[in-house]
Amino acid sequence: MTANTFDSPRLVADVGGTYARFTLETAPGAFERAATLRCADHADFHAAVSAYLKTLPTDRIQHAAVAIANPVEGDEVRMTNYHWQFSIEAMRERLGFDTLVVVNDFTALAMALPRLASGDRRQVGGGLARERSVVGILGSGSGLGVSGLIPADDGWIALGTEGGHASFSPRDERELAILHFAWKTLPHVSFERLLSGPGLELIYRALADRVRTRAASGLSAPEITRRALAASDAICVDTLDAFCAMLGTAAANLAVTLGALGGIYIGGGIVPRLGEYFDRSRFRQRFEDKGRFSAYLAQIPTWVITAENATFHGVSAILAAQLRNLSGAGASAILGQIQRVRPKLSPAERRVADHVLAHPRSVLNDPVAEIARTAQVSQPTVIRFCRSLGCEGLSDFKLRLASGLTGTVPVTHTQVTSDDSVLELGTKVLGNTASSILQVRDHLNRDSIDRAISLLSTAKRVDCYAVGYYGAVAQDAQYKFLRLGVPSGTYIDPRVQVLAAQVLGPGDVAFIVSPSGRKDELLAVADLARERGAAVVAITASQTPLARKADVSLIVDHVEDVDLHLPMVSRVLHLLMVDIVTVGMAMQRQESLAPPAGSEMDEPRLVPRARTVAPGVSAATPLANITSHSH
Amino acid sequence: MVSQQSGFPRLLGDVGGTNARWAWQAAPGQPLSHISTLAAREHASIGACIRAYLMQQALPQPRDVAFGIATAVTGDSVSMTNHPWSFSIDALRRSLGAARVRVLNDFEALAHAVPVLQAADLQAVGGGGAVPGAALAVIGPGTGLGVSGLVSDGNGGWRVIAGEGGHVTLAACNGRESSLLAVMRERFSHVSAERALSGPGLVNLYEAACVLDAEAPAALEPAQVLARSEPGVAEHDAQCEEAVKTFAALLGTVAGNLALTLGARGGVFIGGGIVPRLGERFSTLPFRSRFDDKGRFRSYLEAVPVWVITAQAPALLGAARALDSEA
Repeated sequence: MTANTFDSPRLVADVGGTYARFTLETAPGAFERAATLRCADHADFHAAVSAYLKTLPTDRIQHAAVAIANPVEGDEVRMTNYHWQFSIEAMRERLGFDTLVVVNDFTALAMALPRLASGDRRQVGGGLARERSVVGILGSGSGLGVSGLIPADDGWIALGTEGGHASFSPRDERELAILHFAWKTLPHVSFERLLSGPGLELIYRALADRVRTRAASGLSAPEITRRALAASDAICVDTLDAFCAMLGTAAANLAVTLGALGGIYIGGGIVPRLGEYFDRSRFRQRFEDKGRFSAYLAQIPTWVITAENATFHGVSAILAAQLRNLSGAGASAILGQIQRVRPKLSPAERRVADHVLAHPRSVLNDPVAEIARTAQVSQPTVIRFCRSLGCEGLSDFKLRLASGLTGTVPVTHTQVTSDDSVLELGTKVLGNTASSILQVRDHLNRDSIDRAISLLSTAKRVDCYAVGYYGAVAQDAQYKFLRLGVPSGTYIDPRVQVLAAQVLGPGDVAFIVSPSGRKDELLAVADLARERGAAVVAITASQTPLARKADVSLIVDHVEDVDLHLPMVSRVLHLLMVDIVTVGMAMQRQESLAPPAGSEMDEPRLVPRARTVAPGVSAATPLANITSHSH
Repeated sequence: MVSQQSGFPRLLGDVGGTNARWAWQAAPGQPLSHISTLAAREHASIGACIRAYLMQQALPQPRDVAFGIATAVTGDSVSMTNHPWSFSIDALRRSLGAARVRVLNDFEALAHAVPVLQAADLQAVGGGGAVPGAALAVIGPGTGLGVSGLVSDGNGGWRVIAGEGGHVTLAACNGRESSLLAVMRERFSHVSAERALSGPGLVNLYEAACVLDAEAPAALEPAQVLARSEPGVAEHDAQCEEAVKTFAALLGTVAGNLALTLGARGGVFIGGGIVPRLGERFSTLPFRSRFDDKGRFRSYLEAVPVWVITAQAPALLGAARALDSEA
């Protein structure tokens, strides 16, 4: 086993209207035991998955992800072209998985693009991809899928689009004739009506009509393609020629609309099978043929996806991203440990392990008798389970579980939406703040706190400096310093700040609050204070100019989107940092200042349901239930 | 003593080919003031134009400066097509004595403003409620056709998609439009959306209608096409009326395509210099009916809200937000 191998193989599936393809991912990107099952041979999705699982050795599967050929939103999956339907969460429970992610197949294909190796794609024409730029994808098959990837901080955002239904724009007389023919039966002619399997058949009929030839009745798309490639039928040749040119128009429209300087990919069932023909077709020429914008398009590369299992790569990428989001480092430490030791546990202890993995949050609050009862074991078994994990007992275990779990509340995924109830709103705001506080706790530097407390405790005078919103934090600090008997002032006006800093002297402390650590006026205060022999204590982010200038920096690294929101969480974090040092000062001065009351975190359990985590992606997992309040 | 917050006062601008509009923001949260429009051709450089504005309004030196400009901004050196103003951003910053100068494409500036527009800044043109967290589309016919989008980063912020969506190939939706486009195809190698959906586009549509109707076209400015298109006015002209109606219908087609391509269920916002000026009249033109007219996807589009941005200075607001996001 290599270091990269997963603890347990992941099930990856791609379910279409006719076939369901399954594979096991044993290490990132390593797929084994691929199998294709006919949907018609199985009563429902559960039966198909079970049939595949029966062919496997008895490895327990924890995480699974399924790409499916229909829109995915929320918990309920209903296949458009097939009668299978199911609740993702109910299916996860029935199959006994920890995680089941269901994703739209085109979204999965899009997410595969950044993972494709050079052997997985073939470039058509010129152009050079710009790094970390928007990428577009079109897939022509039973329909026309369109999507795009927008670079985000550490990954990609997939667009959930219906771009295949944009109105078709003809570019020459032949295409105009095709459009007029299509208008006879269709009130709106979208690109999908022409750039798909049924579209090939429609183009064929239109072109046959144009040359007043009776169309060979019922000529299917594969047959049209076959005859065109063999050059055995002039109308079929024309049909495929027109198809490739129109795909060039659609691809270029997508490229300019998204500014897709990262390139355009062509997938789906039709084009990758055309082979070299497509490279010689009018696709690329048409792609670049945008009048004044030809030069813009000529720099954008176009690729045909040649990898057989590209969708699998995308599904696995989405699953991996979900698992990363859902189990932060803390939780995976203890929960991952439980998963690793599980096979070595006694059958009874294993029942406790399964119960903890499925309901970590309730285990946290339940007494030993309740845990034993729900796991159907004796109370000593629960204690033995805890010791098997290296804990002294249940309370020690709960402590580790709690620190792991609270750490997993994913700050980055918290979003208050307009349809939240007031209760949800409150829970989200508090949950966010709580998780950020815990993150700061994990990164507290005791040395700097000690040094700050000793500087502040012995100071003759402490002046507080901040600008904007953080003036409130500075005033809070001033109030506390005064209560502790330290002469203190607050300055939020830059000019007065300069004046105040100029009268500081040895033994004084300039206490500067600045989350950005880059404000020129505050940096000037720090310089002045140090020139005057005073010490500088700063609450700021790490690696900032202010942090480097200060004698002691109390680090608060919290990225807040001040673009859309007022500083909320970071303001609380800064206030808490003030509390920490003032409590320390109070203790040194043997005075009685009550420490801030600890807050209980208690979150209501929600009805387990898969949730939409991104356009076209729904996830069901016990960890999702822990964190779902914050989504 | 006047309180001077970090990054303030700010000079904000919206620089077009003809006019440069400037505004002042004295402190955080303050409304924009001293809004004034200067004719670009009266000033030799952008620096001269800014100094003229500051003198005209008796304003001090700004600390931060941000403006949108009607050209692509890719590096320090900015030049405008068909315009003598070209400059280095850093040299401008030094000559103004400002701490920061942020220059962005004018349409990108507008896109920055979209998430904070209020009900009073918008005129609804049908559709249902916005889907929270879904993408937003921005389209604005003016001198050219600006197209942009915003995608939620899942973290409360937005990524601005800055493409060249005005250059998509234009799609006709009926026989008459096909014929108008055929006339335009004889003039232009590629009939992009911008060829019809812009000020010059209005004139192109008018001239194409004249060709089809065998009328001699007058040499009209875009504003004249708009003025003569209104039914009942003295100088009413049938081809001008057709040009404006076709403009609205084609805008519906292109905006609908954009909404589908971005999955913009958060809404489509129409800015630019032309549509907001049409006021109430815009709702009588065949925009929305065409926007919805996407066959099987009619119900998808019927649910997408469309708004005309009526705010006085959305790009100025966007410039301010671009500064905020870097603070």
